[in-house]
Amino acid sequence: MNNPESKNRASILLIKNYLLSVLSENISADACKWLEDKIKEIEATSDDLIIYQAFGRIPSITGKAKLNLSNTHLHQAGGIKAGWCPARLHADQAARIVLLLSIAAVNENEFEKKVRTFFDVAEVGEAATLYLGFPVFPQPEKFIDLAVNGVRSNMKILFEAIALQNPYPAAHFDINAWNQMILKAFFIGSPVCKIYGLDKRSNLKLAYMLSDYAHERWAAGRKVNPELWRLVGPFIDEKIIRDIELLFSRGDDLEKEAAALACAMSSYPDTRKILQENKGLYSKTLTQEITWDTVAQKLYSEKQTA
Amino acid sequence: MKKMKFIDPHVHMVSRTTDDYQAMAEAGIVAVIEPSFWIGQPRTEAGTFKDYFSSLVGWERFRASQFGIRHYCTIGLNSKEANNEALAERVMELLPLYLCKEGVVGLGEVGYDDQTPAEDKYFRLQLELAKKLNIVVQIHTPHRDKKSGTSRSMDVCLEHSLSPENVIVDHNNEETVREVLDKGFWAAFTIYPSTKMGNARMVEIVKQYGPERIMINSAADWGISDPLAVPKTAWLMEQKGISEEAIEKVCYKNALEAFGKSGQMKESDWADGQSIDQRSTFSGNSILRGGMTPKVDPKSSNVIIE
Repeated sequence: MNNPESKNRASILLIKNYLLSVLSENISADACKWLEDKIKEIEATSDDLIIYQAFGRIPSITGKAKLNLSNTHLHQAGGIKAGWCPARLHADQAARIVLLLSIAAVNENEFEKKVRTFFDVAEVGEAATLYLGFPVFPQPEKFIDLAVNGVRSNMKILFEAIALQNPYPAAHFDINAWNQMILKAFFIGSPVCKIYGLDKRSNLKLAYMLSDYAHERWAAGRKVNPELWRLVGPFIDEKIIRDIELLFSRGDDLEKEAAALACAMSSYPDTRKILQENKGLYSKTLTQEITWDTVAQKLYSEKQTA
Repeated sequence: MKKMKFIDPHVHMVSRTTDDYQAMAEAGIVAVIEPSFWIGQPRTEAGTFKDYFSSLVGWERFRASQFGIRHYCTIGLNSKEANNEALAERVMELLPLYLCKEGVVGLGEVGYDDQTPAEDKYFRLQLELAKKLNIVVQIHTPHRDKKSGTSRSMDVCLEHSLSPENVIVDHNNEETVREVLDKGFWAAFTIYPSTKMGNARMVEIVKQYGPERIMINSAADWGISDPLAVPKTAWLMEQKGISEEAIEKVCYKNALEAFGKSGQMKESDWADGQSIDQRSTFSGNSILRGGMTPKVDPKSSNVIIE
């Protein structure tokens, strides 16, 4: 098993079998059999038409219901790939990923070619599925250009397939691509809390970009998503502290909570002073009555999220 | 007239504005089918075909969804551009990549323009592909030498053992309709000012032939055409005493039955607006929410299309 190719192959089969097992609990026995038959057919022939047809027809066979994962499956997912979230997949998406992994199991070069071909001609649902598959594809670094392009999409469904509950960007995006993705999430109102690796990938450059963005919003008389301060908190300095002071003086309740949480993340001395002045909020951050999760909950409780 | 639902089974939305989408949704159009055709001037690269097909399954579908309209398409090499054989060969290679996709309800619009040998060759090759994939065919009948071109299109379909109930013969008129119906094909009529059918004539045809296997469309495109042709004609039919049941057949049900044979178009797709498939909804998706007034009321202005 030292050969990288066979190691990849073992991992491909692990994920493929995992998804097949999840699917067997979510779609009819007939649909499962159809999928397994198609996989055998594809493995046995190299007829592209069969692959295109199977890939295209999957939703009409499997349906599009969101997968229901058993506790065992939920537990296993984290062990397969950190941050990977099969519970967000729908039946057709899981089945399409299985189909692609079957091609990868036979020939990884052919797999990359096919993924690129499918991307080139993808309709929206297919493109979203491919983005969701990236974290479990072999040699995922080969698809960075496609993922970065996905972030540029005007279709929110595509942006969110790559940005939300997907460990791929945190693992593979460079700092510029990462920062653009985060900014865009704020711009288009995606639930930022669902971005994997949010705190780990926060950086000074991003903090300044977000602070500038907040100033633009304020200048236009618009509100700023309070989650923004989560990414600014660790980088509070003599410039950013003024934003925080504004939040405490003019912000609404949720913005004040966010400001307190941001201060709690900071080692900049003035933040201690501010927290002392806002003892009530400060103690709530200590007792975890206020966390970034509670801020997100209040923020998104009314909204439908992906 | 009670609020009716309409399908426009032939309309080139890539050429239309958001005002059109808005007016169509207000007038009761719940679904459209966009056949691939030429784009006013000849294409010179296969790549522009690919991007065009991709826009039909991608961006245009998304654009329609913002107005609560389900967008389907048919994919094919049109007769005019079949005459550029070097290009046609490469477009033929693209077709299998698109024909099996979700929301692609058939092969179309294909057939004859000048009835050249090249047109004949690619028409036949595409019919074979449709047979292999078991999908319906949408036939464009020629503007010139229409009657014999229509007969010939049907004869070629039968020669390739296509079943007439899987073939929609489009752009009919008083001269072609009897033969199309007698041979068991679907007869579509395009209500298009000046060059094709007028809707007063259409009323007479429905009176004479009844509503079975007849459907109407706008074929609205980049020319002077009317994306409200279907609802306007429905209204006129009601004024002229055609039964509601018959109107529903020619303006909704027959298109659904014919194009639904591909398994890619179901009434449940729009029965509950777009919300059935949560993944295809987008934030702020319904521009029509909030009681905006429609730009055009089909009941009061320009109802007669001559």
